[in-house]
Amino acid sequence: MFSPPIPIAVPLLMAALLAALHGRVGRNLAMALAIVTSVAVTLVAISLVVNSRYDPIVYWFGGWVPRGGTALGVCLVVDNAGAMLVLLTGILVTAALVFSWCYFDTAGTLFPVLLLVFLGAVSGFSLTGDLFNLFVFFELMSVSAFALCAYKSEAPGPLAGALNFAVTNTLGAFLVLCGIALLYGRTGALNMAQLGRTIGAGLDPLVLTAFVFLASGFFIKAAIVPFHFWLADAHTVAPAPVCVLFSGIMVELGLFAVVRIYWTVFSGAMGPGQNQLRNILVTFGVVTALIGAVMCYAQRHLKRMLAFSTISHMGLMLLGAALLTPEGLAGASIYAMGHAMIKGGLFLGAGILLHRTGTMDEVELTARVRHLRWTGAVFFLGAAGLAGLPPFGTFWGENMMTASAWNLGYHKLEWVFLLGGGVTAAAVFRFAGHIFLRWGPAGEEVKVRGLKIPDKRDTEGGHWHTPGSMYLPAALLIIMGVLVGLAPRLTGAAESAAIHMQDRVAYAQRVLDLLTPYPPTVHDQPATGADIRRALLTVIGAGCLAALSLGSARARRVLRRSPFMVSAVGGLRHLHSGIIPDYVTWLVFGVAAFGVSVFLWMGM
Amino acid sequence: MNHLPYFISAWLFLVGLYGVVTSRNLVHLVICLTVVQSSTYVLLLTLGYRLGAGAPIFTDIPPGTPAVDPVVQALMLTDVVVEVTVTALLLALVVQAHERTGKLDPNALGIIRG
Repeated sequence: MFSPPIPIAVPLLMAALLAALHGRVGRNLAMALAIVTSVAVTLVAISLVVNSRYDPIVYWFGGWVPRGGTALGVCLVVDNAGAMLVLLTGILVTAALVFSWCYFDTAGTLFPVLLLVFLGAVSGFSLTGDLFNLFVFFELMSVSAFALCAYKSEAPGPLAGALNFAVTNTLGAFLVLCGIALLYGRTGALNMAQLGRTIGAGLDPLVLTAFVFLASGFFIKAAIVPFHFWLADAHTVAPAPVCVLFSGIMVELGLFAVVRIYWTVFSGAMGPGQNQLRNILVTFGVVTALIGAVMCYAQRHLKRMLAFSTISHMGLMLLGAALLTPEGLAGASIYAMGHAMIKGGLFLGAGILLHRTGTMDEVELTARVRHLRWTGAVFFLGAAGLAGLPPFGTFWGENMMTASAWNLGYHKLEWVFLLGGGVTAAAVFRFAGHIFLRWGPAGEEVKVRGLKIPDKRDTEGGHWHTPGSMYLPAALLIIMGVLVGLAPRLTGAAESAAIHMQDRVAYAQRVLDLLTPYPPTVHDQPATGADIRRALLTVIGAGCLAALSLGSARARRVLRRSPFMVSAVGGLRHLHSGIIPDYVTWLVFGVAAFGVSVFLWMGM
Repeated sequence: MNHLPYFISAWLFLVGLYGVVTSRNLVHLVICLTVVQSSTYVLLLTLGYRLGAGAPIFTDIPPGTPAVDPVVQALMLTDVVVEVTVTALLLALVVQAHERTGKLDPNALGIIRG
C-alpha cells in the first residue's frame, strides 16, 4: 500500500527542512516534528512487513524495469528481513528522540536532523537491491553516526572516540568499494540479483578476493574481532540515546550486509566450499564472543561495559549466521531484534543514571542511586534478557542457533552461547547489584578494576528528577524485548524469511524476471524442556558469578591476581590502547588473516 | 603495461595505509585516508578504460563508436562526493581536537583505553 521509497525519502526531506529552518524554529518544535516523522516511518514499516511476507516488493526507480532479464536501473527489494530492520530502526529512533527531549540541556535543532538522516540512511541500506546503492547508504549512515558520536564535542573524549570510529570505518568503506569495483569489473553489473546470476557457479580468485574485501569491510562495521576496537571507544563517549542506535541497529547492519551479499551474489560460486567457509566464520564468531565477554566483565565504566557486551553478542549473531542454514540465520535475526530492544533499554537506563549523577563509574555510582528503583528494575531485567531468559526474544534466537549448530555437528557451540550470554549478563548483574542494592565492597575498599575514564556529562547540573519522557522509553524497550519473544508464529516467520533470503535463484527470478516465488511451508518450533533448562542455567550462572564477585573478597582476589587474569585480561586491556595506528594495524592483520584463510581453505 | 594501473592502485592503497599507521599528525592522517581513497578511484577508472576509445559523449558522434565505460566514471564521481563529506567531517573533528587539547599527535589521543 505504501511505496517503498517513503521510509527513505521522508526522513531525509524532514531532516533537510529542519536543517534549513535551523535557528528559526524552536527546539521543541523540531523534536516534535522529528518524532512525528519517525513514528510515521515505523507505521509505514509495519505496512511493508505485512505486505512483504510472501513476496518481496520490488520497486524500480524511474520506472527502469529490467529488459530481457538484464537490470537497467536501481531497485529497492523489500523482503521481510529488510522491512523488519526498518521497523526496528523506526522504534529505536523514536525511543531515542523521546528520551533526548529532556536529556540534553543544550542540544539545538541539529540533533534530530542527524537522527533523521541516520533513519533514512538505514532504511535505504536495508531495502536496497543494488550494491553501489548499498555503499552510498552505508557511507551516509556512517557519516551521520560519526557526527552523532562527536555530538558533545566540548570535551576531548568524544572527539578521540569519534576519530577512532571514523578512521576505522572509513577504511572499511574503502574495502567495500574495492570489492564492488572488482565485481563490476568482472560482471558489468551492480544489481545484486544480476551479479548473482552472472557470477553463477564460477569461482575464481577474483570473485574470492571481492568477497574477502566486501566481507572485511562490513565486518569492520559489525565489530567482529579484530576489527572491533572502535566500538568500545565510540560507545564510551557517545550520548546515551545515540548508543541505543549504535548497538541496536548499526552493528547488526554490518552483519546483515554480509549475509545479504553472500546469499544473493556469492552463494552459487562459494556454495561447494560452504563447509570451509562455515569453519572460518564460526572461528571468528567464537573469538569475538569470548573476547567481548571477558573484556565486558573487566570494565567499571557502564557504557564501555555495555559496548563490549554488544561485541560479544555480535559474535553470537555471527555464529548463527555463519552456520549457513535457514535455522541459524532465523535464530540470529530473532536474537538481533531481542538484543536491540534490551540493549537499547539498558543504554537509556545508563543515560538516566548519567543524567542524575554525572558519572558512569561503578565506584562513584555506588552511594548515590539506591532510590532509583525503576531504573534498577530496568537493569536487572535487561541483564536477564542478555542471558536469554525465556520470555525474551534472545531466548528464542539462542534456541534456534544452538539447534542448528547441533544438527551440523558443532556440539561445543552451546558453551560459547552460555559463556558469551552468561558473562555479559553477570557483568550487568554485578554492576546493578553493586550500585542499586549496595552489595559488595564499599567505595574505599574497591581496588581499581579498570581505567577510570573521565566523563563529560551530556547534561549540565545535578538533576533531582527524572522526567517520565526518560523512564518511559527505557521501560518500553525492555518490555518490547519481551514482546518480541511473545510474538505469535515467531520462529516460523523468521525461518521462512531466512529461507527467502538464502534462495539466490528465486531472488534473481523475482527481481529480474518478475516471477513470484511461492511461500515455503515452515512449522514453528516450540521450546523444549532442555532449552528452558539451558536458559535458566545461564541466568542462574550469571547471577552466581556476579554474587561471587560482589560478595566474596577471596573470589575478588582470585579474579584479580590469578596468572590467567593478569596475563589474559591485562594483555587484552593493553591492546585496547585508544590509539588509531594500533587499530588500523589490527584491521590490516584481520583482513590479511581472513583473506589468507579463505584462499587456503576454499581450495584456490 | 596493461596491468600497471592496477599495481598503482594497490600501491596507493598500501602507501596510504602505511601513512595512517605511522602518522604523527592528525591532519596528515586524514590526508593519508584521502590517498587510500584515490586508490579506489584509479581502480574504478582503470576498469572502465578501453584502449583507443573516446569519451562517452554521443551528441555528435554516431552510436556504436567505441567509448570508455561511463558507469565507472559516475561511480567515481559519487565516491568523490561521499569522501569529501567524510574528509570534511574528519578535519572538523581534528580542528576541534586541537582546540580542546592543543595536541595533534594520534599517539597522544589514547584517552579512552582499557
